[in-house]
Amino acid sequence: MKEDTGLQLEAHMRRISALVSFAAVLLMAVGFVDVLLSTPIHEFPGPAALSIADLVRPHHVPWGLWAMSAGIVLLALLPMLRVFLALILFFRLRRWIDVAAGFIVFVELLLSIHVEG
Amino acid sequence: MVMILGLFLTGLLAGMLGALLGLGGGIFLVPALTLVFHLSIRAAVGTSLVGVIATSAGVAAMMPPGRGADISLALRLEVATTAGAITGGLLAGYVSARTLGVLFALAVFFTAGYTLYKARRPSAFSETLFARHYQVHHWPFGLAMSFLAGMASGLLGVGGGFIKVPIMYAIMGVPLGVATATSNFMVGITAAASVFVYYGRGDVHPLVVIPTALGIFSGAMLGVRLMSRLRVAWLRTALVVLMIIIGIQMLVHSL
Repeated sequence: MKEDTGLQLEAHMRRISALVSFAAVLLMAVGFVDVLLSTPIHEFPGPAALSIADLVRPHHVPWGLWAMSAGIVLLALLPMLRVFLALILFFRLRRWIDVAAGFIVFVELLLSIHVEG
Repeated sequence: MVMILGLFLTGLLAGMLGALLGLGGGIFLVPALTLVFHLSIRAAVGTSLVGVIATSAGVAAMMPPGRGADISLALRLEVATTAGAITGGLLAGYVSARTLGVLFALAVFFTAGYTLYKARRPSAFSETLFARHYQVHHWPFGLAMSFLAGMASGLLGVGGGFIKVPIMYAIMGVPLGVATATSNFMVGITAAASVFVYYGRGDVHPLVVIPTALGIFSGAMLGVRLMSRLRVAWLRTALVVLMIIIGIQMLVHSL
């Protein structure tokens, strides 16, 4: 019973991960094509990705650059999402040591953004 | 356009090798981006970290059921790895790169030697890539080495898979296929711990990151398909050869 729940949740987790990563790839690809078609590229590495604030409130921001930056951020958030989904999986299975490990990793990820930022 | 194609192909190769060997691909990407594409080291590391996450995501999306990561093992080891990544980030300004390079080269040579030693035992010939039942050994050593892998990630901008896979496989007794899949899951989390720092500093450039990441994503998916056709012995040989090359490279740069 527990084994079935585990497999179902694992499959669910894989589907969500695949969906998010394909959405990120799609956003990046569409934005990249838009920038290539609309702006001549004179030199690499080109402009930096938009800040999170600009992503949330995109005023006067080129659409292509917004889509590329949003795709990168979505992809970068995926590992955190996977840890969170694993946490739910282990909670449902009542595997408390794994719940504790997942929780510590999740907190460490939040802490690393805070400490290094 | 040639530059974009070059970045895509570099990513494709890094993603494929990364997926096959359980590495994020950062160990190939950072030298390629700085030496071939003349990017600054910070921009190369920023690109590499997004690339490591793309490899991890590509593998996760394509891995068939029953051949995925051991998530329980990954999370337990990741407790130490993420702590190591934070420590590495904090220590970056205090420890000389030379000392670290020599230490990591020695660790890489040690694990390569141990892997070869293990391959010579009679039981190695009946090994399968994805055994369902196995016992994980030497937790304290595995956790300590995971902490070191995290430090490598925080200091050098790599996923640390080149330490994680040999340790899980050769020392902790995890089957090689499971070790590579688990490492792929872990390197994404480790890279996520530092990618936003580079993003916030303006070291992530979409015109470089995107062709590279798309190449990596495609390469990782191709690598997963190839994985089912490979034998343990081939993968183990590739891993040992790669570790020796990386070790020599690290030693030459450090001395």
